[in-house]
Amino acid sequence: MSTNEPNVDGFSDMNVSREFVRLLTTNQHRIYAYILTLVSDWDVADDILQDTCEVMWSKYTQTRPIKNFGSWATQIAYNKVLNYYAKKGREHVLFSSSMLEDISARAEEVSGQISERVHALRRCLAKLSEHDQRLLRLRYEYGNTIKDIAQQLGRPIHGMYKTMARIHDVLTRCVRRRLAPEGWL
Amino acid sequence: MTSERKHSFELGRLLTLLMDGNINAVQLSKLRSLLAEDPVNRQYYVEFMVVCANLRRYMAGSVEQATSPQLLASANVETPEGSRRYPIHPDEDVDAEKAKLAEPLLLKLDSCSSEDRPRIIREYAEQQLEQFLAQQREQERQSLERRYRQRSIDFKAVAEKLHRFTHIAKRVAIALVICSVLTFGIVIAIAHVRAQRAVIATVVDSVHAQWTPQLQQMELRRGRIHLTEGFAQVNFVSGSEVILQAPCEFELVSQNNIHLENGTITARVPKQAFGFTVVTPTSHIVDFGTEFGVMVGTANESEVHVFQGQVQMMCPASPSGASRHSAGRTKNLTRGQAAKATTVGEIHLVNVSDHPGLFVRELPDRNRRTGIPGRILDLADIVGGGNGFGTGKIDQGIDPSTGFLIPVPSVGRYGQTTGQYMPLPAFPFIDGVFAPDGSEGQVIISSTGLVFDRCPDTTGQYWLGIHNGAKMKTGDGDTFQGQLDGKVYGTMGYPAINMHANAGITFDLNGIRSAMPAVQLVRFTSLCGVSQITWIPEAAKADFWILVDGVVRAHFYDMTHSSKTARLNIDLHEEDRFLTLITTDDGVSNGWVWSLFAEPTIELKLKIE
Repeated sequence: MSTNEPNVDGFSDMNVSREFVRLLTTNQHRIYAYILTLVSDWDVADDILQDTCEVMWSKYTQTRPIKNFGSWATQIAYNKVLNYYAKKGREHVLFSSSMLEDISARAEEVSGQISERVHALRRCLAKLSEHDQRLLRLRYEYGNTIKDIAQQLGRPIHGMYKTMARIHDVLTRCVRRRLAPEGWL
Repeated sequence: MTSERKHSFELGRLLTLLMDGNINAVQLSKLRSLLAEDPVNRQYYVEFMVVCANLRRYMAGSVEQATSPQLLASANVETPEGSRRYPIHPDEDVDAEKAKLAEPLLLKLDSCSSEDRPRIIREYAEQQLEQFLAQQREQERQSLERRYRQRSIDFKAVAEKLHRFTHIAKRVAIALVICSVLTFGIVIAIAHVRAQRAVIATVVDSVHAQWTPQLQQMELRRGRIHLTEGFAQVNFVSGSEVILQAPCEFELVSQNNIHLENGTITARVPKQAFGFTVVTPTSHIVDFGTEFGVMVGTANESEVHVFQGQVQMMCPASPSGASRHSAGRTKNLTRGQAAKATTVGEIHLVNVSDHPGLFVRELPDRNRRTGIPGRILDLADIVGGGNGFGTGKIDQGIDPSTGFLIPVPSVGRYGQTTGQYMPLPAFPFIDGVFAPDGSEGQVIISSTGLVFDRCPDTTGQYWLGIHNGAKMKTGDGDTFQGQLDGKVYGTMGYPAINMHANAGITFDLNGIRSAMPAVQLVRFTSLCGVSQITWIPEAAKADFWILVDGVVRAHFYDMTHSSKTARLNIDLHEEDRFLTLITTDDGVSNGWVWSLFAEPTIELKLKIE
């Protein structure tokens, strides 16, 4: 800590904290999307995000100013993901090491456009039928699994997975189309 | 379906299984191969996952709950009041913009008093709007200038001659841009107004309904509505049918969503309208094609009873961030189940069979004179297991010495007092019952131990029990319908509590207030007397006692079938908790004292906030 920073009364500490929280608020969805893409598990992604944030906070004061907060954060998250896979073992892992690197690079790029993607997703959602929107609410707003939704609605589980896959596929392609340069597709 | 779509759909199906935690080894292996063999698949995978992450963020706002509170705590930053993250609104701006805009506001708020905060926030919002509009104007100006410059180069040779015309053209262009911006704004405004003014539901029927403000038309649009008296049936565009029971304050949000602030509703939701949601102050109740009732009482606790099908009750995640998932505590309820959501985010199962008549499932007869929600509470209906507004059963009642629910038997019979007070915790509006006899010692008349110290010595016997109705059964099985002043009682139109001496019942006024927090209990009114029947062999006598919190407020003694009917009118106060009705015999004979409380009601009045 340099001596000319007035940390004695805690004023500067508070400002650093505010700065950090502001940067994190701006970037946390990007970080979360990145982690989820690498681990494809909601609970694991939640845990890794939490761990990542703690590491970020512990390193922030020594590292600041940080040129690209988002990239710095995803680097820390990537290390956390590697730790997770090292503990988990290879048995149920979706990607090989080289593939994980490839996915990581793509995820960093795609999650870097998170605001544009949310914006596009909002418009794509509006084009879904009322029925499909309700199914998504049951899944994401109320936290039901697809299996639960099928059982509660008395529908075949297999059919509900197909329906949900269709909805997600439509949304994925719709977002892609909206972000594509004009004339593409 | 094109082969590309088929391909992405298959990949999407495997990813859907993966994200639901339901993928098997074969499917996982297939997914691995698909991702390994083609970078196009990997790109699709990444975009699919980001869609999932954004859906979760967009629909539930769960990531904020998973990180911010803990992080703020570890970073030693105060969490601003009201900083809880709610589901993200479709119109919310991107985070980067928010963070940038909020910075000077945070600094200002740090140094101001709490009274000044709303003003500063308002001024700040206005200032931001002004800045935004100024930026837009500047951009428009620069854009026009650029276009004008390009044009002026193209027509350099004739610039001088056309100077006057280009000047006009510039003005026209500006006017056109302004017009197009205005048109766009108007289109947006019209779309917004249309969404606001779209009919969400229609009032299709009502009984004694009074609305605040008075309804001008039966088509209901988005907004808050207050049913102050009576019942109404509202059919939503989605097909859901909702019966409202006054007093009931709610907000219609969409054709599949109602916010119930207080009061009682019953919803019948057809299969095609699944997902119909009732939002209460403590829970979200999501329907899966069913029939259910919801009550929001005092302290904003909400209770749901499922009559058919299945619903999901969910307490939203607590603002403290205790839950790391979007959904807080959740319970799935099926037919015959009931649950209560508390203000601390807990869900408790409730025994629905204890009070089956809590909800009106059909609109009652519009000619009924009592049991009008928000105006008159029918105590006889409560004795019959109802909610005081017509859900009770005629000739259903309670045995005063056992507390058991009993119908009027086919043959009349005596019961004998046990000298005990029988609390009835399962009845929300009845505290307990008893068969009084002063010779048995202290006569307890409430679950809190209030004593009826003026209780006379009686025979200690009672006949049939305490019933909603006026059906009288002799030991030979003969049936007679009780009358007072020549009027037959014990019907839906003319209700009565039939309590042949010796019997007592205590109503829990606080229980009534809890279920109807928006009303105050004004007064107890009733007629009372011994039923007039011509074949009575002897002039049996009965006393009628009415107590409030153990204090005798009215006493009619030595009443016989030929006595004049007494009229009761007893004011109730906010602090009164128990209303007790008692009939006693003369201690010599218990025969033929068919005692009736006719049209026993509590007048209600809407509280003025």
